Amino acid sequence: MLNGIDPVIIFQFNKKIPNIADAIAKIPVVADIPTVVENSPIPIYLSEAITGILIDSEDLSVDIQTDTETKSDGKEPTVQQKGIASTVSINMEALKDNLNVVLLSTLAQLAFEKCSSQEYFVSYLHGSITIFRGQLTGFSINQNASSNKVMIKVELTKGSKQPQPKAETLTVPAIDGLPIN
Amino acid sequence: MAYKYYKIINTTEFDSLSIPSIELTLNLEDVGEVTVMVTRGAGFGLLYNGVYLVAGLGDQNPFEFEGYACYISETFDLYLGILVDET
Repeated sequence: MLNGIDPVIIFQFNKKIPNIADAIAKIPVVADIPTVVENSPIPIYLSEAITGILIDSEDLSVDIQTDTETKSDGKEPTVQQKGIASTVSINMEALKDNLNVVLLSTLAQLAFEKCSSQEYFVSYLHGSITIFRGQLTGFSINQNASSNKVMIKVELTKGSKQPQPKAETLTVPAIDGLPIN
Repeated sequence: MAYKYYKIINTTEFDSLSIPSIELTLNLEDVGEVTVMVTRGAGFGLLYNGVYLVAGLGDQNPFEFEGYACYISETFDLYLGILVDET
């Protein structure tokens, strides 16, 4: 439930609109023109009572790259930091015949197809561990013959996306007098 | 009065976007990097340097105002004109 009692993972897929993007490809656009249609979010409650998926463990880790540069004159070293990723790792288990595991697996594979076009987001909410509009960095399902359970692992991150290069400013030549075509 | 004209946008291409205005950053020869807003209402207009120019307003094409001009050609190209200092 969204009040934090049961954890929930939400998949949201978007669709980029190709026509407008093609039409403005030759124009150095500065204004923000929406080019994405957002579909309805798909929530999956990770609750044993509702979907039969039980969270075994979850971890949140924030990785920051830190470079310390000491000075030859003995002054205070400078510290350069760069954020790498903020990653949530969720380990779950469910019974082998659970249909919600099939749904989770299908959505993860859909996210895999759309990862390069950035047409999806995944949000996860469970108490203090929350990620909004993050990316899926890993998904695995493990099952074996000696057990009737499947182990599911989901990894989400809120790292920076590939930055978009700034459009090159067009140079316009001057025409002396009225341009009569 | 002599103007230097710069082609800003083709109005047919702008019309196909179905948006009322668009802001463009262009590098104009002899002027430098400028921001021009192209608008579409009753006619096509330019907002440049705080001056709003509408091509064909009052049947004037080019439309001249405060040292600037706006001209739309027969091939529907929209031009910005900047008055040349003749001194």
